[in-house]
Amino acid sequence: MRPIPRAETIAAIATAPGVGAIGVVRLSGPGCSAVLAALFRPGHPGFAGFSPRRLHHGTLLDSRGEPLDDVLAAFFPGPRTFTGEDMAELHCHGSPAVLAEALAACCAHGAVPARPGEFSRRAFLAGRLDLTQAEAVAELAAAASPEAARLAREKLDGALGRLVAGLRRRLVELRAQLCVAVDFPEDEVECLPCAALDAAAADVLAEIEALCAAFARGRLAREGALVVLAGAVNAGKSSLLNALLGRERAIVSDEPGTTRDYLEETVSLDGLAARIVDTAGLRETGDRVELMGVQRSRELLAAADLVLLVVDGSAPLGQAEARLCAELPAARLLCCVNKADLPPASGENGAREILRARGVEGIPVSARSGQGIDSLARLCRARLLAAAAPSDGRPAPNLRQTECLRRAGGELDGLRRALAEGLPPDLLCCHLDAAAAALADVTGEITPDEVLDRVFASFCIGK
Amino acid sequence: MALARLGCSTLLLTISVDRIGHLSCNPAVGGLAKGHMVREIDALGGSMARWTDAAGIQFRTLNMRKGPAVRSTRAQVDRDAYLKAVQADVFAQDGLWVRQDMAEEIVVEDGRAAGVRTRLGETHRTRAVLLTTGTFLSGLIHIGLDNFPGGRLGDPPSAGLSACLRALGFELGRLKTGTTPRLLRDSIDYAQLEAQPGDDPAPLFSFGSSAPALEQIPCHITWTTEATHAAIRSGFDRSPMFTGVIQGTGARYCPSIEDKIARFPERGRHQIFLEPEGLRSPEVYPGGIPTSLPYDVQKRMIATIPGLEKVQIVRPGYAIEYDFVPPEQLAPTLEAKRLPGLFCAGQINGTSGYEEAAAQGLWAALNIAAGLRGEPPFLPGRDEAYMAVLVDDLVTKGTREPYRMFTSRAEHRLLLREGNADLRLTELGRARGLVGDAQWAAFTEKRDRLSEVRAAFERIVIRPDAATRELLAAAGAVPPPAAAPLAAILRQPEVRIERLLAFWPGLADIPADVLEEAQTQMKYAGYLARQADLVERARGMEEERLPADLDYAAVHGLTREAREKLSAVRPLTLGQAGRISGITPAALTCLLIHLRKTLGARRNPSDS
Repeated sequence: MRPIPRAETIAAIATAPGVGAIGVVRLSGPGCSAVLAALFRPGHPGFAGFSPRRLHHGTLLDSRGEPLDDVLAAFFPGPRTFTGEDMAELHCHGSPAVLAEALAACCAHGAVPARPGEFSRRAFLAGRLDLTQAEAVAELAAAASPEAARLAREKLDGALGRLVAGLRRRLVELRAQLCVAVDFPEDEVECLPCAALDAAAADVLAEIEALCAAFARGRLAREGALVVLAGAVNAGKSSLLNALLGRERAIVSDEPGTTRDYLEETVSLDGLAARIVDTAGLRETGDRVELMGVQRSRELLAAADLVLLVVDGSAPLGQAEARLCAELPAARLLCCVNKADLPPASGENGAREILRARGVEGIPVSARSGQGIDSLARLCRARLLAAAAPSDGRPAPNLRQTECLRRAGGELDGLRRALAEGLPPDLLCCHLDAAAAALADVTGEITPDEVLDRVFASFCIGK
Repeated sequence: MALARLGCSTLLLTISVDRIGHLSCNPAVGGLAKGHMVREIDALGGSMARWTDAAGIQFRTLNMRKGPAVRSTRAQVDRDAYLKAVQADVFAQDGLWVRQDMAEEIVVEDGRAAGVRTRLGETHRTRAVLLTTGTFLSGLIHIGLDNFPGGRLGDPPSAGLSACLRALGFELGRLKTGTTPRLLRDSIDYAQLEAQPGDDPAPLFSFGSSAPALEQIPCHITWTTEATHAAIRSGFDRSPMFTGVIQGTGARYCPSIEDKIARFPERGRHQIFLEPEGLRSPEVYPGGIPTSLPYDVQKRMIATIPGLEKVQIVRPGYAIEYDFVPPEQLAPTLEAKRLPGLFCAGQINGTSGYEEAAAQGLWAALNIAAGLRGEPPFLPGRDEAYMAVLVDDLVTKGTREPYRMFTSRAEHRLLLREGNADLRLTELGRARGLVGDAQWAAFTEKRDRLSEVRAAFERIVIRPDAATRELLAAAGAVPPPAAAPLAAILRQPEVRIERLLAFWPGLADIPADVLEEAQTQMKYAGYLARQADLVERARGMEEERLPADLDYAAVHGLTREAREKLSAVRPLTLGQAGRISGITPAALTCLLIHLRKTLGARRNPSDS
């Protein structure tokens, strides 16, 4: 049984999911001031610490310490707060990407993602809710038990649950080995040698790291997909980005090659958050600066969830675009035939004909008039959702599950270090127990009985 | 014993006075987690450690290299010497009366246990009754397909009490245990066997003992052979276990030899410890081959074992089935929930082992005395004692097989070491009145020396200059990159505390047990702090008390399963509730909400 985590600081995105003007990350628990101190850089030079319940302007850092967003932050010292504990709020810009990153940054500084209803539960336990509200929380908890059971079952039926349960079983297996080593010293059973224990731990650790990597790839759910705009110089990529954003962002000019560096914006594609990156145009160039831009473009094209190839429908298709069509898998490629408001180029060099011949889907749009932009957004969303499955076939854990996995991974690291130092089995068990407990937070409980059951099933024990 | 020492007038009723202090199974005390409990009993002022030290003929420390928490003391004891030590104390104890008679009925008055009626027709009126029935409660002995009533080979069973308990509404269960044949020592050919001596110096159990009282002798080791296994298989069709004659559940950790052969057929041999029953005893206990096979099969199988070819079996091995009271029916004080005043300890609660039984006996005695004096019950936590893990497991989860303690049952194992049993418990024992002045003085002295060592190791700072480097190298230590306290040097894996004498001459005057404990505390400080932190985190749950009259039917949101389990166990705290199998975090939240609602929200939210 997990203790009620009174000492834990919880964090959650408090505003509704999706793109909004403002998004709030809320924290509760003793670590609030530490998280604020680590992540918030005041904008005002005269800032002398947080005044209770006042909004302060400043910069929010991400988990790597890089500036993430321009925010307003407030600190609410307990006990006169909703939960009775210290609380903090970070008012960010409302992009899901920014909010997810802000939450991850809080977690990197000791907060844990809140479970559903946990703020209310803490509020109740602190005596901040009246009886009627308390009943509501009880309902929630009551509803949570069959629901939680159903979810747990589904999780266990699902690929992630199966994987994590398998990893946990292996840890129980190892724990049983150590249990035999220490609890039955007079039985002549063979125990796992240190090297084998280390290899087994390394194995499980690699699996856990792969799952954490799958989380990083699960961007689509976490921070939106990466959509890259590509196309010949002056095909209208920047104009299209602006059309999708609905405002002027890129420097638009008819002079070819204006977009040297790349521009990134978060947009809502029919409700789905996506980072859209505008790249330097595709052309052979001798300019070093622009060459670097082109190089960067290629990297982005490789990493993209979806490439929007913008072609000028009023001009013949160039070689660079044709090559791109050939290089990129059709599933990651969508073609916007821009300048639909101008008369199309005809003949066998016309873009539409060539694309049709290659089986690439082409949407007529006009960045200038806005024609076709809505259906383009819908189509992008459908394509992204269809391609959402992570690439190595591993299921992507969510942030909470990833935190559990990282904890387990950290303990296995500790186990391997302890093994290298030659620490005795009873101390090794501490790491193994903690790692198994962390995985159990994803899949369910581990009990001493489970270890002993394993021992009695596998070893010839007893006098 | 403890009850009388706590000042309560105590009557010890036994079927046979001769058997007080008789070890029914192997002539050994301690072992993994069991040795820990013997030390805990000693730390609290109990007697078992002193009796064992008085009767021990071989002492060993198990798991010497497997870490400080799982190091454990084990002793072979002289069966007669142990029994004599126990009986001498029992008959010398003021306020302890001994009667040979058989309790058959519990007297109930006003819903409380108020005494016992005996086979001889006596009625003893008491304020509390403690049942310690061992394997005697409706005991049935099996040798092959033959079976007969008995409490132990040669002793009658306790007959009437099962019916009385049932009539009082208790549920009874049935367990099984087994023991090995006893061999005639002079018929063993020791010449071909490997001897296993004890440790020198002998590690003793009691914090107050200094040297073993008796001469120290070795055990011997032999192995079963394929021929042994064939002989055993030939008796499978007449095994009471495999033919279903035995209904009781046996322990998985203490399987009979026939069970091992059936379950692990790929193993070519099994180890046997030939344990002497005493310095002058004519019998030897072959540890590792408990069996209930027919006597003729036992004889044939033994004759196939190296060194035992010509051996004579003095007493046959046998299995015994007996009744127990599934311990979920007890409160954490070991008092019966349905009959206040009645306490149970030992095998009646589903445990196996002398040490488990002794720990419960002491636990029950301390709680009976506390109840009679109107003091708070004696309930140390799972992070303070193995005996607390034992009792909490029993009353919270019950048991389906004879319960034996393992270090793996304790979630805070690193904190529960043999070496710090006194630091954990002696103050508690002193407060309850069981720790005498001499033990207390020795304890406070040890505690002071320990703080002295720890303070010195923090105070003395090692600078890695040329002279120090040499001294460090001599001690097997790597020079630190910058000045560091001596404690940090000690944390290096290869460094042992006694080799640091050059840095603090005061070490020479420190007793070995203090050094050992100081070394453990400093060397593994990080791990110990981590476990202490986990304990602290769970503290809130452990301190959240659940009212005894809590109506679980009225708790909003509980599943029917949770309601039934909670109503049956009636946990004392939220922490205990969480350890009941099938009680989910959601159920605990519902409970907590219910508590706050009915008891009113707390004034000071920071308490919650």
